[in-house]
Amino acid sequence: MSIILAASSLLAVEEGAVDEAPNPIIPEWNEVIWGGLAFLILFVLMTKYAYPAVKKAMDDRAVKIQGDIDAAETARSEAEQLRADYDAKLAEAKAEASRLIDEARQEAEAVRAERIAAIDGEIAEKRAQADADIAAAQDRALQEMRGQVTALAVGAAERIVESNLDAAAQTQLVDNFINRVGSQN
Amino acid sequence: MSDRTDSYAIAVAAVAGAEGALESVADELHQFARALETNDDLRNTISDRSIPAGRRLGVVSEVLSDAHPMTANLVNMIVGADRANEIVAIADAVVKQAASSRGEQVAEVRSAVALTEDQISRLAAALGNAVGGSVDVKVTVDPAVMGGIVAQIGDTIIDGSVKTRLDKLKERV
Repeated sequence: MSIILAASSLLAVEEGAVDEAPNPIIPEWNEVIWGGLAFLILFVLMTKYAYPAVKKAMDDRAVKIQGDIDAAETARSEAEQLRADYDAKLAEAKAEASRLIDEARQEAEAVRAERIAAIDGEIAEKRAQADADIAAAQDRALQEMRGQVTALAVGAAERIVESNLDAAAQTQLVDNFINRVGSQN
Repeated sequence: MSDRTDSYAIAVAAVAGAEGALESVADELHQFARALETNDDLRNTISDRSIPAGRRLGVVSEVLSDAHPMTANLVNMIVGADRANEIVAIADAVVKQAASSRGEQVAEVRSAVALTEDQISRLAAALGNAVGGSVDVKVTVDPAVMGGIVAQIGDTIIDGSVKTRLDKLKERV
């Protein structure tokens, strides 16, 4: 209750003060003039010096920023160009590598086929050689056997002849010889 | 034939002829030569200079004990002169000389079996006909002939042996 009393007394003071103190809202005339003059001076000063300077600074900044942006743009497109070049080169290299691999594979394939053909040829040759060898060996064996059979047959004939040459046969042979020679001349 | 062989032959024939034994000596020399050809031991013993000459002459005398003494003497002369390896050549030359002194040629005959006198004379006649002149038949028994006769007169050979005929057969087969 004392607070309410204090507050109401303050208000009473406030109202009373209005009648005596300067109005805080509406200014005095010399304040307005000086104020206005100061304002004009400042305005002129500002317009003449501060504003252009600030504008220039701001313009410069804008230009710089634009320049930076442009440079960045240039750099970016250059980078893109490089990237494109690189990509192209990479693709080219890949294509080249792929081509080389294909070539190598083809060559290997060709060599393989050649070796197989050569080996087939060699095998056929060796087989033919073996066949010829076998045939030759057979022939030789046959010849040998024929020779042996002949020798045996003739040997047998010899022995037969020998055993049949008794005294009478011998005499006959001698007589034949004598007659044969005697009739020659 | 070398000159030395010829000279020896002439000498041997002359000595034998002087003793009137040319025929026998020639015959026996011929037989001795054939024996040397077939008998390796005999040939080696007679020709071996490391064997004392006395031994070698002894061997000759033994082999020729049944022969005419002239034959043994003459062979001993050749062996004693260390010309034993020429005995065969000398013997053949002597036989030839003996034959030619009679106007005959020598017929070297090889037969499988011994020949009878009859066969030999008939053979001589036949061979004489064949060469146109008389021949002195010298027969040697050679089993290798098997059958029939092989006759060589000088460079002429008449081959009627069974062996040769069999060989020809072998070639043809």
